[in-house]
Amino acid sequence: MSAAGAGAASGVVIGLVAVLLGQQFGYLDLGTLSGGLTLLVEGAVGFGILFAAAGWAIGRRYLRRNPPGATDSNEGAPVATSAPKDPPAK
Amino acid sequence: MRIHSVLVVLLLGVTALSMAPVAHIGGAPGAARTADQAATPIFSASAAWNGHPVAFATSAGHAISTSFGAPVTIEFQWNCPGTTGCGFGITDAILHVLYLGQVVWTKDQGFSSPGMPAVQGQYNLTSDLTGSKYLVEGLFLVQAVLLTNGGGGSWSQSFYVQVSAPNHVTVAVIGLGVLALYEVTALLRVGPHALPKRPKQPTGAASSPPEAKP
Repeated sequence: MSAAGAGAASGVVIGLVAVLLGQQFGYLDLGTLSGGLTLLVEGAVGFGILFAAAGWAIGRRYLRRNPPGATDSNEGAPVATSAPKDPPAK
Repeated sequence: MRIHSVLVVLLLGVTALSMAPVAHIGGAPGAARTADQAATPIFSASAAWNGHPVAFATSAGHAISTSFGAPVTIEFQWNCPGTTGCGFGITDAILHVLYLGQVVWTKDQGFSSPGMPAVQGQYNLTSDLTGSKYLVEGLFLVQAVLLTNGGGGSWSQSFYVQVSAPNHVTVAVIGLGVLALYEVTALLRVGPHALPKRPKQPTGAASSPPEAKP
C-alpha cells in the first residue's frame, strides 16, 4: 500500500471517529438514518482525502530523507559498510 | 489492520448505544402527529421530560439538557374535550431512544384493558438510566408515544435531549479517543510505505549460503 493509501485508510477511520465524537459531545445529530449516514459518509470521505494528501506529503518527505538504496530494509537503519574483521591468526 | 479499525469504530459507535434489544417503530420521526384525525372530538396530548415540555425541543438546537445520573421522569398528559371523552382508552405509554433511525433503548408501560380513560389524565413514566451514566453521552433523538385502543390511533412526539456525563468521561468517548490517537500515530508512520517495493525472492532459494566445510 502506498503512503497516500495508508493515509487515506487512517483518514476514513478518523472521519468516522470524528463524527461519532461529534455526536457524543452534542454537536452532531445522528438520530435519523439518512442524516446520520450522510454525516458518517461525509466525515469518512472528507478526512480520507485530507489524510491521503497528508500521507502523500509524509511519504515524499520520507523519500527525500531516505532515498532508496541508501538504506537497507530496516526503514532507515544504517547500512553496514564493512564486515567484522577476523581475529588475528596465531 | 485498517479494515479491523473500521469495524472497531462501527461496533463501538453502534453497539455501545444498543442498551436494549432493537425494535423498529413505524413512521418517520418528526413533529407531533395525531394518526387518527377521524376520531372526534380531537384527542390531544403532550409530554414533559423532567418537567421540560418536549414540544419545545423538536430541533437539535433546542435539546433538553439532562443527565443519566438520576432517574428520568416523563410526564404524559392527554385530553379530550367534552365530558364523554373520545370513546377509547390509553393502552400504552412508550419512550424510545433513536440512533441512526433505529430504536436502541425503549421503556414501555402498558395499561390493562380497557386502558386508561382518554377523557383527561396523566401518567408519569419513570426510568432509571443511571447504569448508562458512564457509557454514553451526547445528543439523542427521543420519541414519546401514546397508544390507544378502539380506533383512537396513536400520538407521538419526537424531541432531542442533550445527555451530559461528568467531565465527558464515558466508555464511548475514551474508546473513540484512543482509536483516534492510534490512527493519527499511524498516519505519522506512513513514510516507509512510500519506498518502492522490492521483488520477492523465490521461495526455493536458500536463505543463507551453505557453509564450506574445512
